Amino acid sequence: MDGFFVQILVNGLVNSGIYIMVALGLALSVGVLGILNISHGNLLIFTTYLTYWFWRLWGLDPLISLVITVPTGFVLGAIVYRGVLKHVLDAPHINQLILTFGIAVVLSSLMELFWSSNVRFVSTSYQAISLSLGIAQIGSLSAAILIVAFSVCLLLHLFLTKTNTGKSIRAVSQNPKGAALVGIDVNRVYLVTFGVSIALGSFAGVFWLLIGYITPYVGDILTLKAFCIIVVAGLGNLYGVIWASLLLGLSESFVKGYFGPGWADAVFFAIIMFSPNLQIFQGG
Amino acid sequence: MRGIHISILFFVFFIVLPLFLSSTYYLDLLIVIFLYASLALSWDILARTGQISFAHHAFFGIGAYVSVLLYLKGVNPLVGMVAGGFASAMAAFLLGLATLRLRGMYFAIATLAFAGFIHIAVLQLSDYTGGAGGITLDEPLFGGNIYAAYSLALLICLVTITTSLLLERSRLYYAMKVIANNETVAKTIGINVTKTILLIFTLSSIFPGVIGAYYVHYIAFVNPEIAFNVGIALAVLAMGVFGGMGTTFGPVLGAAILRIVEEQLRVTITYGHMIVYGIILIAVILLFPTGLLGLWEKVRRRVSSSFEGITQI
Repeated sequence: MDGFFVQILVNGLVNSGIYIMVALGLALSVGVLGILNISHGNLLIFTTYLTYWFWRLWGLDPLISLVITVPTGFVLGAIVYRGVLKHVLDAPHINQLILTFGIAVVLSSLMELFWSSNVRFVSTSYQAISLSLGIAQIGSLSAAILIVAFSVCLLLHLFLTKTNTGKSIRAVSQNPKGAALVGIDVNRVYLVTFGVSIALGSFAGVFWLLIGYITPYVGDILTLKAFCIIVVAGLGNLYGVIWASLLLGLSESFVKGYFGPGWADAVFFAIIMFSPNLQIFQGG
Repeated sequence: MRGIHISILFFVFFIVLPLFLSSTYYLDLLIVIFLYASLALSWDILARTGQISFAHHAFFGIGAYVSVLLYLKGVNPLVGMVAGGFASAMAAFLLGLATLRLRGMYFAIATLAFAGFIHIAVLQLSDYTGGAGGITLDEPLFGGNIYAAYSLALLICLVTITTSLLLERSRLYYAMKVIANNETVAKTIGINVTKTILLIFTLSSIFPGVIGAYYVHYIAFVNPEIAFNVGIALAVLAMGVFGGMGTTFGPVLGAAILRIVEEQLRVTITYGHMIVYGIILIAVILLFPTGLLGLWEKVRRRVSSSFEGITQI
């Protein structure tokens, strides 16, 4: 294996780490609420802007401000659920799709109005530190992303299997009526799920900011990539998300390395179009 | 046949209207309204089967690029428009074949993915398409004669409306309604669901192709940002939903109102006027999901039922 190949592999893994965190949230909300949230990426980038301004105005380190951003993501998700989505739970899928699309447009327009469409990035002392892996380099941040992504998966797994809230989330996702019959407050579960879904995304947003930049439109791309992942993984299949993210992250990285960066953005479209899972689903 | 009479009335009204307009600004506004009305209506025709497409801008772009590339080879713009419509219908047919079994949100995702893919492909194949810089045409449509351009836009809009009205009177309309409401029932009573959806998808994609071709000749310029503007997909969605989905006059009404509103907003706030579309989508879905026409119907029914109450007393 030459260094170039290994470097591409490492970059792909790091991207996958971020995608996992974005897509897990989306898979969770689709699986439990049954609503495909087109505003997922926009909501999480909204919280990332907070991180940016904390850093810009008060010099707060982005990693430290995770303590604020992630709960903010939860609250934002809860507000959106309580204010909007709660009213369309029984509405036709078309209405739900259009509604979340509307939220996405409102959010990205708001971000454009508040903070302009300028490219925003942060610079911290640890961004430049990189570790040598013999024939390839890995940034300290990239290594951190891999560890964080792994921990997030593990924590989510523990949350869903060990805690009461997590168990009730799974129960509701399997059968809302049955869950309600045994005394689970379905509405509360929906609220928590949606909050957790955006909170997970907020993690990803901060790391996205640290290794790249944000604009009001980054959210749309993240939503699309997360769609791609959950389609490959299968609707609401959380464990499949990990493999699907690796597939997307690695293939993007290889296309970027061998065919140039322009085509890399087409990878997720190609994966969606040719995903066998997409064909399996009928009715929506 | 009331609809046909109204169409003829509209046609006569709009044909003589330019004679009373002092400035070409209003003509330009009307042209854009016609185009958007046609786009929104053709999008709605597919939505009547319960399939939401997020790729309307992709068909617009395909029509635009096909006609421009033909124009550069010396083909007449009018022929280019027909070719653009044909190419976009072919693309829709192929996409429809690939997504035959997809419904609801999966179909929506697939169309969104398709639109993104086409956009990137056009950007990347810059040897043929001019890449991000785009292509400037040497002459606008009809040599810049805005009255001729106006008439053609009106014609396109009327053809779309007529198609929609004819569809509403055809057997296909009932098939589409049943598919949207319950696919299993549709299959049971012998409707070929995939064939119907494929046919409607192909048919409804002719219009964005023709309009895309028209628009790039009208402004005599094309680049991927104009041709594959997601704002188009957003606007047609908002117009259809706002006016009333599943009707002929709903999307047309929605297009007229929202275009005028957007035009006003563009003057007052430069950035983020798209927010209006978003707010309208949210408000309409939450407050009156059947759109303006549905709201009107509800009001009318309430008024007439209260009248009935009075006569009974």
